[in-house]
Amino acid sequence: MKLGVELAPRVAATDDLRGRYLEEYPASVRLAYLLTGDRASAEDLVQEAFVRIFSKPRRIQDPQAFPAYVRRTITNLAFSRARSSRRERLREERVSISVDGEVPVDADSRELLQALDVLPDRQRAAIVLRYWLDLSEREMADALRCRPGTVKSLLSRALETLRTELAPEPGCDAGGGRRS
Amino acid sequence: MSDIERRLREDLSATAGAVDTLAPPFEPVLAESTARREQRRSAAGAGAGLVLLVAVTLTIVATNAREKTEADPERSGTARLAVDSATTTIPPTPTTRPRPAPSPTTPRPQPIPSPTTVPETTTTTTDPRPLAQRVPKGLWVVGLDGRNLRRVGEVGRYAWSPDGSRLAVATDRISILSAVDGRSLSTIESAPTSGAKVSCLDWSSTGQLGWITTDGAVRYASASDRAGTFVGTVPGPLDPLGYLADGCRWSPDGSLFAAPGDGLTLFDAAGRRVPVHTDDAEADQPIGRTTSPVWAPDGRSIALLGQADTVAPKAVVLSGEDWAHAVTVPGTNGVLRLAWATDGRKLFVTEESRVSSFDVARGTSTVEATTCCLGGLTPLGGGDFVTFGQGDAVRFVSSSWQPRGGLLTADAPANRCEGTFFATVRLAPDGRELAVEAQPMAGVQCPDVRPSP
Repeated sequence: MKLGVELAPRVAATDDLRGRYLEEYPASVRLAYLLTGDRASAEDLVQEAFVRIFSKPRRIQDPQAFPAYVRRTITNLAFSRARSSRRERLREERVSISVDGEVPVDADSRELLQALDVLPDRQRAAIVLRYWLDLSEREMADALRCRPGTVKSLLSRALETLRTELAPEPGCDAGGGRRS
Repeated sequence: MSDIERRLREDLSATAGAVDTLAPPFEPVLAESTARREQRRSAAGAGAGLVLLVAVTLTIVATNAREKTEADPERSGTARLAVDSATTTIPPTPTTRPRPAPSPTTPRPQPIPSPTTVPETTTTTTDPRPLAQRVPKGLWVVGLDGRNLRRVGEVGRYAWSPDGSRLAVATDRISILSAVDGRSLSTIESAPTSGAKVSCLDWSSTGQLGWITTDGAVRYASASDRAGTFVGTVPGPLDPLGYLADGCRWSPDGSLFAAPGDGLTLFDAAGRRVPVHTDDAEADQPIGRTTSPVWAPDGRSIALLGQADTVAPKAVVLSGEDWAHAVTVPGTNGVLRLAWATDGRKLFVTEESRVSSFDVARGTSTVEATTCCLGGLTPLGGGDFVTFGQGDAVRFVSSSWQPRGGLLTADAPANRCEGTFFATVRLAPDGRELAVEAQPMAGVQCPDVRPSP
């Protein structure tokens, strides 16, 4: 059929994008959630990231580089959104009320998210990229758009803060504050 | 590795693992990215046009100045300099790229306790025709008279119960909800061992639920069961059309369960496979991957979308012994939805920009309506339809909406319209209400929509 033949390359290209989208979505939404601490924001952010990425198809021709490009876009978007007052509002809501549709997390995860909330955005991202995605300093520098030396500094300062934030409260049983 | 680092690894992994990672439909993302690319191109064109306009203006100014200078010798030195300056500072091409328009952002609708009434319904327009209502993400039910719009649950594949009083909604499990107020009545484990997501489900007229999970497993259950009974598997891939797919369907009498995938698989009510010989199809090419099967009202024919390789989906009607008699609806390519007329004589075929009716007995097609960006169609009987737009933001109906007045369409180009869009619309068995699955899509809000005259 003539129409089908004409559509074939476009369909194939669309299938390729769809495949990349489906492949990268799970890790992307998890990354966005760890960066924002809010599921709805994470979903919005990831959707916006893919819209931006697919609107510039020339930049995504190398499939090997695609995951890193997605990470960088999500990280940048998270930084941008964090600067807005909206995130502050969401953060307050998250602390004060249980929102329908929130990710069901256990006490440890909740404590972690609250501790991450204390960190400046770039430090938070450095922690997530290092200890969740297990990225190298070079890969982190690429995602954060900074020098590897800056990455070390961000991680060091973030760990210092988290040691305090996640330390057991005085008077607690040493083994009682954590799951086994 | 220090304790804090070890703990971070553990807790970050656990926290990330708790996030539901089911990807929302791809098509709206693609549509939006395409729209933005075009927007940038337009902006670039406008930027070049602006530079050209400036150049022309400056040239005219310079020409006037030159003429004035020649007429006024006392000022000739200064004026000549001004002319040269003006003519030489015009850039031949734009040196800076025009900035794209700021990306629109829409505050995400706040989660609404289920059930709920519509939070935002009033839109104003100078047009006297009926207004629409916007609905945020969720599963909604509305009367055909436009009244009693209510949110009954989360977004998910869903099916009406035979009596129209309940809905089965698949999220991480299958919830049986009251269609009146969204109250949860019971739940069924959809895939107890694999944890796979539900790809499609349907509720038979005899009260049996059937569903397929993304791993291809088919299960049956009654609404009171705690888990489904494994029936068999269908060859993948499932849902080649993504969110447009409207999955599996019971035959009208509840005796056969149509399971799309690679070809078509039929199971009887006891879970036994029924022979299907689509390989012998009279179609001009193999049926390929299938989706969205719809049974004719008499249950003797089934229409579905078939997609072979890279060719766009086409409509096929199967009937006869072993379902070996196949007719490809002529002139269709890129079909989005199928629906039978209530008398079973015609098959309505929704493509991106038109709705056609295929007279099965005569083998002829007639274009019923031409409009932009349709996503689906539900016949109401008497020749009327409800349609919904692919990629549309959302609206449903005011009390003055008259659904039997004809075809309903959006009045805005759908693919530029964001916010929320309809994924599926299903008519209740009694024909008095519609269920609407409204999927989220970030972006600007859409213009009002009204029924076409």
